[in-house]
Order: sequence, then structure tokens, then C-alpha cells
Amino acid sequence: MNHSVDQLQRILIPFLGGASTVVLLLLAMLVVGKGMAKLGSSRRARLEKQCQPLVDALLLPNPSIRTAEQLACYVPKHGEVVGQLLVAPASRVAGPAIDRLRHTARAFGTIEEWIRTLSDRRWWRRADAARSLGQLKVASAVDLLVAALDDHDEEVRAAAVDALGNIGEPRTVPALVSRLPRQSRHQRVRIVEALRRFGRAAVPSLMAYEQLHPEDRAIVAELFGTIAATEAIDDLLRWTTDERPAVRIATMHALGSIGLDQRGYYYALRALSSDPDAEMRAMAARALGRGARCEAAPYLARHLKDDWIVAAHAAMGLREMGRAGADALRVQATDGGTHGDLARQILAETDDEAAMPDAVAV
Amino acid sequence: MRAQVVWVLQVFDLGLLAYFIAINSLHLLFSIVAYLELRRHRRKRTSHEHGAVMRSPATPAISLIVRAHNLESTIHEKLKSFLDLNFPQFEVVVVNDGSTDRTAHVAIKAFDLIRAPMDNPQPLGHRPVLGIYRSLINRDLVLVDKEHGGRADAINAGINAARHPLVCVIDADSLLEDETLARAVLPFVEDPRTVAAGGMVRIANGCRAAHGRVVEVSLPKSRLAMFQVVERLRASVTNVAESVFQVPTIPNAFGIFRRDLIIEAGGFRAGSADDDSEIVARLHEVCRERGQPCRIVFQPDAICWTYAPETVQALANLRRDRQLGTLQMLVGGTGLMFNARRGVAGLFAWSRSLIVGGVGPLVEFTAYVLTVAAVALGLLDWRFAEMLFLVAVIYGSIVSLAAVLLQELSPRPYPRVMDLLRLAAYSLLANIGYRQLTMWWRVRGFVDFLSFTSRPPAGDGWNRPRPPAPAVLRARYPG
Repeated sequence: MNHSVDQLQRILIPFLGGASTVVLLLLAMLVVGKGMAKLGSSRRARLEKQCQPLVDALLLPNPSIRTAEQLACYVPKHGEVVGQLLVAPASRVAGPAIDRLRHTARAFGTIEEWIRTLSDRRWWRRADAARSLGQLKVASAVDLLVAALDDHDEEVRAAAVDALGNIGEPRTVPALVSRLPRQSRHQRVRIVEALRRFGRAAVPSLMAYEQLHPEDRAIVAELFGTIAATEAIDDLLRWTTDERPAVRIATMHALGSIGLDQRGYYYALRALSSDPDAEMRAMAARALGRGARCEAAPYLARHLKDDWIVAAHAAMGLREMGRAGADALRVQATDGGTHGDLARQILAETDDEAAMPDAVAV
Repeated sequence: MRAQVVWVLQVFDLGLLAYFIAINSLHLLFSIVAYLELRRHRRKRTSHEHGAVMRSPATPAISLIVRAHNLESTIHEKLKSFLDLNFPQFEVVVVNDGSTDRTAHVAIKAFDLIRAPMDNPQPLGHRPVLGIYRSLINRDLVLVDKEHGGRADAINAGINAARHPLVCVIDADSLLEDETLARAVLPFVEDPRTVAAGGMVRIANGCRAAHGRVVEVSLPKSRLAMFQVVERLRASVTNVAESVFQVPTIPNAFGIFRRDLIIEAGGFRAGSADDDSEIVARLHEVCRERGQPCRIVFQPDAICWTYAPETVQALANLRRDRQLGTLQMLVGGTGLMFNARRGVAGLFAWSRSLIVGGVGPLVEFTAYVLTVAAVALGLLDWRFAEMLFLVAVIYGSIVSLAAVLLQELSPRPYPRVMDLLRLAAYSLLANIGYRQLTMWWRVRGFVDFLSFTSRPPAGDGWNRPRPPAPAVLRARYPG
């Protein structure tokens, strides 16, 4: 027994000594590595502190030439830091201040550097460059940014979308819209957000795009709804009779988002009562509900017994209609079944406890 | 007589030494394997692959099943953060597990949830559902409002309500990264034989979170949470290494499973341990019955953040409950433990639960008791004591330190030098005091089990539920 213990001790102690040495050495290497990185970031912070007052001075209405000259001294060795300092205030200033920042960046050669970096092999540098070009609204980089929409890295594509949204050049609208169907969920949200920033300026481009690509009509309809394009209502009304359900649904959704005028109201009523697609009837109910016209209440109430998605939108629509809606719901709430259940929930949710029939009050 | 007692003690001591050497050597081997695997993973996973998952029509849709219990104040933000995940097609099925506060009400108000007919088949049994609600604002949100039944019961209700072929099981207090689902689903896209995938679970205490995402990785201030961080890192190393040997366990905080197989396996069972090894074993059995291969994968870059308890009482409850759950699971499945139908992987999963989860604390406890007894009787062989210290404390510390170093290869390592030094210090300290304390709690779980002490359903852990309340919502909208 003692012999075994001695043997074990002879093996174990050197083994543990060696293992702990290796592990501690690796730890030391990591600590040194992190320490160096920390030193680097401290140096950078000091540099930023020195340059920041000069960048702030550039934002003033009449900056002196000397300010730019002083800043230029840092460019040869620390061009990247200066570039980032020029970009940083771009999100909180507008108009002439952005122009001054852009001119300064161009004078320092920073913009050319960013444009070159768009083809860098490291994705994070490409993404940073795209973002910077967008922040300073460098219109001359639009074509390269459109090309970056097809970058293999999602971060770069996202940065390009944001940049194009910031620059707001209407001719890039077709490029953005055409990428919508092929993108991930987040990327689609970004593209829609970018197009929203274009605002109504995007409407003519969207209309032209739809003429060329009728297969993307549903997407265009959705975008009209997102940017509340009232000038597109005629087109949208026409599309409510499109043979493709996806287009009709997107169109009715858009009309609901923009708001129904007199014609839209009748189109929505017609769709609610006669469209064979439940999703379309649901969107019509949604649009009527958002319109909150009391005379639509009986039509919506009738559809509380429709498919669940239609009934749910009809119920929500009735909630928006105040007394007329509550009256219609109260009639249904006395019934059993899903529609009665739905009516009771909506009445309860609107805290209209008094309106609930005694039989079902809590 | 004295010589015989000494001999018996020496035999016991040798056995204990062998146990500690085996366990720690296994973990050291796991560390080496995990290092190689993490490096391979970093090289292999590119943005090309990620982009392909996001855009491919072949990417399977996921139902994210979230159990919520008394989360009135946070449910809105939590659900919003889940709905904002970057994944092509998924739904969030939130199961309100008999909350006694206004959790369901807040969710209903915030997301325009409308009561929907319960017309889907219910292949898995669970406590009664009071209502199913679907959102008009976001079609991908479903609320299942049910009576309280614990974690497994809630998950089963969520699986019944799920529409998609994959189900991802998480707790509502977990935080996911934007890309977690996309990364975790990759094995299902690469190989259709994949039946389950687990992700890396990290401790969120001390991190800065905003809108349901961890925006700054940092260590907790609480010492107890620090020890749990080290513990979690060690567990992650084990998960990575086991996946290389094709026998990974799925951490119960985050896992993706094929819905049809989970249903065929009978769903989740009450009394889960630290991981879902029991369901993994049953999945192996289902696959073998179907005559199809069973691929279970651990994805180290799919990160899920969870909060660890920061009070001694809460942690003690958690450990005791989990120990009790493990033992109930082991005893409940004694017939299955050495069942050839489960194959090597199933046998491994059960054996691991038995050795590490079942008898591990008892072995350690025996070691300490024997040492104390030997000192008291003047029979202590100091060479054994020294060796025991070396293999239990020093060897254990080396293994923990290796796990700390390996976290540098994870997608979101602790960034500061001080973080690394603190982790290193705690990885050494964890073997002196903390480990013995957790062992003691687990032994108490063992005693509870033997004395048939009635406990609430295991798996609720430190966030233990209060007794179920009257079904407020049912009363509000009587059918």
C-alpha cells in the first residue's frame, strides 16, 4: 500500500507542477496581451482628448483656418483617429456643420481612405468605412455603397443600408427595394427604416420601380404604407383588385396605415364583405377599425363570427369606435362561442366593466 | 485492531484518490479537447455560413418556448427582445405558468393579444390551459395561459402550442444575442440527422443589459455569483468536449429540439437536473426505435445569458432542488439506465448523471468525513492528506483555471485584465470553501430524497413559485 502511495506521489507531483506552470504561463501571456491592448486604448483616448477641441471648433459657424491646420498635423500618424472624431458629431449636427466636417475629411484625404477601405479584406473595416461615408453624407460614394449592399458580410451590408439612408439619394431607392426580399429579418427592417428616412422623396422612385418590377408590387405597397404615401393612394386602390392575394393584403394593410378616404372606405367595406381570402378581410377590418367611422361598426360586428384573424381585427376595430363599437360588442358578448369570448375580452380590456352584461361580469 | 482500521482507512483513501484523479483528469482532457474544438469552430464559422442560414429557404423555422412566472415588471421588455431576434422565421410561445401577478395581463395589453380558439392537437399532457392568445401586432407571438405546473409542464404546454418543426426552450429571464438562434440552428441546416442542439450558457450577473441584450460583458460584484461564473465556465468546457465525442448534454437554460421527436419521447418530465440529459437519453431511444441516426450538437457560439442567484439561501435551495431532481430522475429511470436500446450515448448520459450528479457529492462528503475522523482518532496518514489536497484542491484549481483561459476563445470573453485576474483568483478559491459548501447542499438534497421530504417541483430553483392563484383571466372572460 505504502509503495503504491509513493509511486503515485512520484508521478503526481511533477505532473501537477508541470500542468500548473503551463496554465500560469498561459494566464500571464493573456494578461500581458490584454494589458498591451489597454495601453493602446489609453493612448488613443489621450489623443482623442487632444483633438476633440479642434473638431468641436470646426463645428462652429466660422471656424478658423488654423484649427484645420492644427488638426491636419495629426493626420499623417493618426488619420484613423481623426477620421473617427470627424464622424462622431455627424449624428447630432446637420446642414452646414456636416458640410464642413465633410470638406475637412476630404481635405485630409480621409474620405478617399474610407473609399479605399470599402474593399478591405477585414469586414469590420469595410463596415466602419461605409458607416463613416454615410454619416458625412458623401454622395460621391453612393455607387460603391450600393455595391456594398451585396457584400458577403451582414454587418457590411447593414452599414451600407444605413449609409444610403443617411445620404438620402433618391436614385438608390430601386437598389434598396430590390434587395428587400433576399435579406434577413434585421436587414429588411434596416432597409425599410432607410427608405422611411427618404420619406416622400422615395415615392416617385418606388412607383417607377413597380412599373419595371410588377412582381414586387406587394413590397412596394408595404413601403407606401410605411412612409404614409398619400400620393400613392390611387395606385393602391387599383391594386386592391390584384389577382395575387399577397398584393391585395399588402395593399389593404398600406391603405389602413395611410388612412382611408371616402373611396378607400368603400373599397375596404367591399373587401371585408366579399374577398375570399381571410387575411384580406382581416386587413380590411383593420383599416376600417383604424378609420374609426362609427357607421362601419355593424359591418365589423358581423365579422366577429368570421375566421379568427378577421374576427380579432374586427373586434380590435370595434374597440377603436367608442360607444358604437362597445354597443356592437355588448350584443355579441352575451353569446357563447369564440365570438362571444372575443367580445367579452375586448370589453374587459377597454376597462368597460360597466358595459359588460351582468351574466359575465367578474 | 488498530492496524485493521488503518488498513481500511487506507483502502478508502486510495479509492477517493482514484475518484478525484479520474474526475479531474477527465476534465483536463476535456479542456484540451475543448481548446481544439473551439479553435476549429472559430475557423469554420464564417459570415458566409451565417448569411446562408439567414437567407436559405431550407432554414427550419423555430418556436421559441419561454416559460414566464411572475414577471409582471419585465415581461413586456423580455418579449420584445425575443421578438427582435435576428432569424428568418420564428414564433415566440410564451407560457404563463400560473403567475400570481399580472404577467399575462401586461402581455395581453402590450401586444394586443386576442383570445384564440384552442384547436391545435395536444399530444403532450400538462396542467389545464386557461386560454391561448395570439397577437395582432406581431403574428409571431402566442401566449399560453395555464395553471401552475413547473418548468417541464410549462414547456410541454408550449410544445403543444408550437407550430414550427424546431422548438427552442428557454426561461423568460434569459437573455439571447441577436444571432443566437441563427447560430444554434446551423447544425440542423448542415445535417438533417440533427435532433437537438445546445448553446453556451453564460452568467449575466454584472453585465450591462439593455432592451433584453447584454451590451457590456463584465463580472459580477457578488462573490457567490463569481464562483458560479467559474462553475459555469467549467460546465461549458465539458459541454464542448462532450459534443466532440457525440454525447453532448443540452444545458436546460437553452436548447433547440426537433418537435416531433420530443413529442414522440413523451415531452419533458418534471424533476430536471442541471441539464436536459434525461430528455437527451430519451431522444436517443426514440431515434434507435425509428432506426435513424441521432445527432446532438453543442454550438459554443450560440450564447444564452442567465442570472445566477446571489444569496446563500437561494443558491442552497437551487442546489438542493436540483440534486433532488437528479436523484428522482435517476431512480425513476433505473430500468432505463442500462437499457441497451438507449445505446452508448444514452448509457453515457445516464452514467454521467449517476456518477457526477448522483453519487459525486456523497463520495466527496465521505472523503472529508474520513479525513476528520482520522484526525480525531490520531490515525491520519499525512501523506494521504497531502495527496488528497493535491488531487482535490490543486488539480481541481488547475482544471478551473484552464476553463477560465478557454473562455477567451468564446465569442464574448470578459474584456478587462482585472476580469481575467479575478476569474483566475476565484478559480483557485472555488476549490476551497465554495466547492465544499455546494457539496453540503447537495448532500442535504440527498437526505431530503431519502427522507421523502415533500418539496415543490424541481426545476423552479431559486425563483421558486408561490402557490397558484385563482385563474383571474378565466374569471374575466368566462366561456
